[in-house]
Amino acid sequence: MDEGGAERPPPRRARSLARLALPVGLSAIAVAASVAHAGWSGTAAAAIGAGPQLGTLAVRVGAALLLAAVIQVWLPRERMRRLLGSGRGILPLFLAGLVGSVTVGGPMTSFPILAALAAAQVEAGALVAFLTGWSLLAVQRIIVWEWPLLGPEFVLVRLAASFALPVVAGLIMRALVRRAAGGPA
Amino acid sequence: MNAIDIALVIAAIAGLAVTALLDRDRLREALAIAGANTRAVAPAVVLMTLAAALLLPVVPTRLVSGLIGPESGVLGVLVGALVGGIIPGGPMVSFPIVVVLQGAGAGQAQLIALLSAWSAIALHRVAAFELPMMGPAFVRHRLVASLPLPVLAGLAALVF
Repeated sequence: MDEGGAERPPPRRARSLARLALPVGLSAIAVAASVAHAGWSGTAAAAIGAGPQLGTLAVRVGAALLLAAVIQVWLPRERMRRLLGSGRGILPLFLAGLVGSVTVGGPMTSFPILAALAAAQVEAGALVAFLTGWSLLAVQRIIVWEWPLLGPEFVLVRLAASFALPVVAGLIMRALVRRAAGGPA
Repeated sequence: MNAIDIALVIAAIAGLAVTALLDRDRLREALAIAGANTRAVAPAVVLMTLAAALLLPVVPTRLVSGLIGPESGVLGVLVGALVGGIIPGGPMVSFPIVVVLQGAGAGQAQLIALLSAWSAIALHRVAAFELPMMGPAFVRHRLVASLPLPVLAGLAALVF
């Protein structure tokens, strides 16, 4: 943390409340849309129907957060920074996208790893390439969901159309960060 | 619980056990990290799961599949990207929707734009994970960098 810098983090409580603003807002919209569509009883039924899903999710999120924390404490930060953090050329972006695509376990593992890479001072372009590789090219999701449900032709066309996008997103991110920092475009 | 969940639980237990055997300090650090992350995301994850359950029946799948048919071209790609960006929930929510839309006659390139937007932009995931863990400055730039991707994927798929 940059002590004495202009952007001192707000107190803990205010920060955690700010974090909840978007979920609370979206939930309010969801409740309003659901009541308008299905009435109060339908909304209550849908909310109760989500109960078992929450139980499964608690196990999944708990296990994934523990696994991510274990990965985080063993992650070779210095090596990751050297490998992905140079901020030059498209090879680090390609590698970051590749690492993202084989990261298994959903957002509960990918985001803690992303935070660990950020803490290891991997540059923002590679962070976005990692996140894009994980979201667009996730091997786990293709095997479990896309191939069985949508068929091989769909998968192949989609992969052909998307394989370069982590690099594209990383390059856009680098340009945005440079502009925000007021450096040369 | 499916096979992936069970594998995840086993991997987490194995990881913790190995860490406990090799390095107690790292274990303490890992538990502290897991605790902090749980406090950061748990309320948001619960809220977003409920929101997804409430919104799913509201999404008019038949209307959407009409708008993104194979003849809808570039406009359909844009509509698909827009719809995909606001589909809430994980793959157990989005893939059934995509299957319904595929069955109802949506075009392949348009569905690719939709699925790409769901995975790359995913407002529910921004709310539940990205904002609490990475902060607003990163999220703002990341979203701008990701906005063109679903459209690029859809347009590339139109060419194939």
